[in-house]
Amino acid sequence: MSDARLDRARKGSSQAFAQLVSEHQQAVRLFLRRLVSVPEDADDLAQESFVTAWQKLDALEQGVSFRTFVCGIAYRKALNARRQRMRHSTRDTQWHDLQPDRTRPEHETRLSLEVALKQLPLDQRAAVCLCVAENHSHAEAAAILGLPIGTVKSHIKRGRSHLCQLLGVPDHEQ
Amino acid sequence: MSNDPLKALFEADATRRPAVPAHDPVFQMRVLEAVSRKHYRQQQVRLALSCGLFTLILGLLAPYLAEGFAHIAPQQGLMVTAILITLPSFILLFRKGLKL
Repeated sequence: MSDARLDRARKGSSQAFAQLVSEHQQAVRLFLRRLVSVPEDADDLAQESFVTAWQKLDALEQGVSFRTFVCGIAYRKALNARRQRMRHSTRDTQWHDLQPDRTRPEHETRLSLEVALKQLPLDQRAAVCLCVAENHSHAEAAAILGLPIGTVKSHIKRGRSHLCQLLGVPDHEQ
Repeated sequence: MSNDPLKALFEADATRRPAVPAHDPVFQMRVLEAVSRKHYRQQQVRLALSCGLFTLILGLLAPYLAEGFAHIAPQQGLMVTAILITLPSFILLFRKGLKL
């Protein structure tokens, strides 16, 4: 069903593409909201990701789902957005917010998940969000992040351990 | 609820966050509008480039064409040239049913 729609979208059917957007927008926006944290910025990035996906539909390989494809684009857009922010505001508070905060954990043992996630580097945050929160397989996460599967597993392990420590919950993976 | 405490925290967090609806026609419309705008701009650029290229080629060939047409139809040389200029443009425009 999805493959037929993809084929039609590749041939220029805007109706088929609209159906794909409708089906996958929730997953892409949720993923980006966890990465970017400002919902409006996340939605703008999601919109740009779908537009880029439409332009690059021919590059979508057989066996890769449309969701994986768009999430990969979304992740790269989030990385670029972060780089631009860092370039424009090196001494800004936004830059500070994106850096792992190493002073807070000593004072607070339990943080909200959103604040704790911000402490992780973006690649670890993305890997944890994909595999722990959104139930993607390691292979899918590797395809989305453009990383080897071993690196993804190590990001998840480190990210999980750091998050559990920050949130004061036991890490079941250890 | 999951047995994994971290997963359970993610599930609880998802309920606290501003909800993303499973189907969001407004978001869908925004995406399709942006896609159409991009598509339209690409078509415009393509059309402008084709026209530029065609004009250039015609400019280079014009002296030879005019001479040739003068031999074929001395009185209608200008008319034939005009038809030759407009015909490819019409073919380009109507090839896809004016779908920009």
